[in-house]
Amino acid sequence: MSHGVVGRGLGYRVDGRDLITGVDVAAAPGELLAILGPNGAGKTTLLRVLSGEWPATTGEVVLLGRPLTGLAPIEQARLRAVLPQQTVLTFAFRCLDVVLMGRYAATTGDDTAVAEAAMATTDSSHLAARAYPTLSGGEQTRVSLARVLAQETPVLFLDEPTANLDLRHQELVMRTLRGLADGGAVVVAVLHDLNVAARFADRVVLLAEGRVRAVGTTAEVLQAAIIEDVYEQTVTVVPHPVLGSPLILPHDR
Amino acid sequence: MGTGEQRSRPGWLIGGLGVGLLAAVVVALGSGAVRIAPSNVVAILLGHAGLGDGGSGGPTADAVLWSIRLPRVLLAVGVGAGLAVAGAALQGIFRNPLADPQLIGISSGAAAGSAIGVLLLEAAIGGIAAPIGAFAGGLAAGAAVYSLARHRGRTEVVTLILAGIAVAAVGGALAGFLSVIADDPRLGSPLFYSLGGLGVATWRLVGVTLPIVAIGLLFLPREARRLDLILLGEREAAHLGVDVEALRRRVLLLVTLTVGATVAAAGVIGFVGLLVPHAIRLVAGPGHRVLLPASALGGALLVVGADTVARTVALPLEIPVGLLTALAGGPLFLWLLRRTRHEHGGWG
Repeated sequence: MSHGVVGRGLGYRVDGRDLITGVDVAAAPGELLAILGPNGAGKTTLLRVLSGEWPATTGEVVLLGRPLTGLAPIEQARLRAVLPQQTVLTFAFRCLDVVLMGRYAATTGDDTAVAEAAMATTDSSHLAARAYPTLSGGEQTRVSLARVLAQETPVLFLDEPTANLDLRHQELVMRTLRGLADGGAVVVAVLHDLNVAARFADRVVLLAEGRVRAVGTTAEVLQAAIIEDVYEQTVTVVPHPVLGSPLILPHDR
Repeated sequence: MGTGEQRSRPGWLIGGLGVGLLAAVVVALGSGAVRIAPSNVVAILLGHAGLGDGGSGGPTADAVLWSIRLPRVLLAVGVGAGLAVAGAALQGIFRNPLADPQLIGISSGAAAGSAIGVLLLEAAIGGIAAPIGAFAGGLAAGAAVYSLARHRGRTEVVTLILAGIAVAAVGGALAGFLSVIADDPRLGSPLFYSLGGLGVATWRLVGVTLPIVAIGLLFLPREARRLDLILLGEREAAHLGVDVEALRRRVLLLVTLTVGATVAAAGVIGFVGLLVPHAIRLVAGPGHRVLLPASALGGALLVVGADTVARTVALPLEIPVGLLTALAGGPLFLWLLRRTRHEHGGWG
């Protein structure tokens, strides 16, 4: 496991409050790991600590065998890319320029070719000459994802990459992430839709109140009893009629 | 708006501004109580460079142009370029279209520092005392405003502006106070510290000021790509590999150095650092690779033009140049705001 993303005993404390406590998490190359949990469970905090945005109060993060704290910003940027929940841009950059910003840390490759390919992958090529602030939320998400892809890193962290997206683009983005993992990348994504996680993730870490409540394959974790306990919501889990993956159906009583 | 169209614009913009600046310099050198035709201006300049016969203006025209007007115009070029580049870079690192050396207190801190530098140090170290004092004063003001506006790793935009206004008021008042009570001819008038002026230009002042401004003009554009990334967000810039804290320190130091030198030489001239970068962004977009050099040229053009009008429109009186940049800049700025709202929904 030394060549993926490893977090050991991660804690993050601010103003005397622990946002996450004693979180152990690991994702190997070729794996898509979903971080799930109710609102306020610490999903985004865990992602920020894993990606180096917030220094862990306790524990340590190791990226591809290298401790995160020993890496300069530029070295971190060559190992991992991050998609935050939303990027607000006041100044009217063209989308192609935004995607090209993903190439800052790159040392090889044709920047423009890589950026254009990334935009094609996220179905945003037609937005290249548009000003980023004029786009809809879903379009901004796709352009931001293209920027993340243009970074060409072996590790990707994504915070709710499908928020704001319509059904087609949600599928497109998840297929893209799945493809990156299948190609050998480590993909760690905070997801709010359990069914999206069930279909696309290899493994799941389920957080509740800042601690790991369950961790394992999607089939192991996404069981009715565990979900009902963590989310305080009645659900029925059935096999997906076409794919056979777990399908979570919430209902009253 | 096609990709090709946008890409072909920056070259034209920078070329056009460069030609415009050269023309403005020639007109400025020829304007005043002693009028000199543009052809003679060029001939006199070439004569001093050892080319040609120096034109037909005679020794008076030569002396007026070479000893009085040329240092003044060169100083205007340096002051305008420095203020506009500093404004553009500040707006970048604070991700705030309102950041301006004057608005966030750096200029007034520099004015007070410059006055103190002259009173305490000029006897010992000479003409460099004013820019050194200005640098220290600007740095103190900038650091105070910045540390107030930082909270939990974020810059609070409204606090930044409000703290800037307060610090600017204190710095400006301190400079004015010193200039009144010290009654020292080496200090400028209170008007100099609040509205600026290039009337004190000498070759010696040019020699002190332009090399310092050149440091900013040379090194700030090297941060262009990182400043672009900061506009995406501090968090995003860090994800992409920028050492955000180090960048902010470097840019603030360069901006303060540049602004300090302009204030020590020409007082506080408002609106240049705000107006020029905004105008350039409207034409060329927000990318700093074009924005910084184009702002330098545009700022120089604006201040050379404003100073020429300031010293010729009411001969033999001279109007403070800051009055003209404000008089021309204010309405132009309002028009820019309207256009910005039409084109991409305003600043929110």
